[in-house]
Amino acid sequence: MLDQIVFYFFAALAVISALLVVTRRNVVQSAIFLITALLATAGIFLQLHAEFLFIVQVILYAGGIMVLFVFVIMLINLDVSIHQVQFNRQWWLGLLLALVLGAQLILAVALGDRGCRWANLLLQRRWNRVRNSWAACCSTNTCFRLRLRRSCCLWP
Amino acid sequence: MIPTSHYLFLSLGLFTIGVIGVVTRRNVIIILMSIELMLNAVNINLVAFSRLVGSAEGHVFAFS
Repeated sequence: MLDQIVFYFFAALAVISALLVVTRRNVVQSAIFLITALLATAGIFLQLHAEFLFIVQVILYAGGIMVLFVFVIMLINLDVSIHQVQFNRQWWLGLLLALVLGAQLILAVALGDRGCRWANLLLQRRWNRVRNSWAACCSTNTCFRLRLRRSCCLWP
Repeated sequence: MIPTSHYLFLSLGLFTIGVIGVVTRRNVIIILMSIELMLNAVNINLVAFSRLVGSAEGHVFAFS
């Protein structure tokens, strides 16, 4: 019960603040609502028992990237950009993409569990109760060694 | 226990909002913020499927 309350609270918070990010006129308000959306995503990670990703999301995104965004916002001139035109004339393209993705959503809701029958086979394996950071570290060291060696120069 | 499809619906909604932001806004910073929203939606997908399968490899994908 508490699980569901936490999930739906953070999901509603993420969706509402994402809508506000896209629609606000002022860039600073968009940045603040983006912080809210990232923190709500972090809460969903915590609800999914991904504690390591939760703390990475809080430190790296809400702490690092958002400081970068606010820094860039402070460097540009805000008074000019507020009085300019805010939206493109590509609203038909946005409407088309939203219709396609929304049709996928409606189709998924209409199909229900029949569409996910292949996924139910995977449910046989259950989430084992090891610690999350330890499990992530183990699978990093075993399965992803080659890929991580290649991309280690790109890591923060 | 929340079904995995709800996480996918949430992720699809966030991704759609991000796509609409990228396509329709003119400010470059807001376009970058919308791209961040889309990346976060993909991360939710990865972690939800990682929870479903029962391994931590989705966490590694979302982290790197």
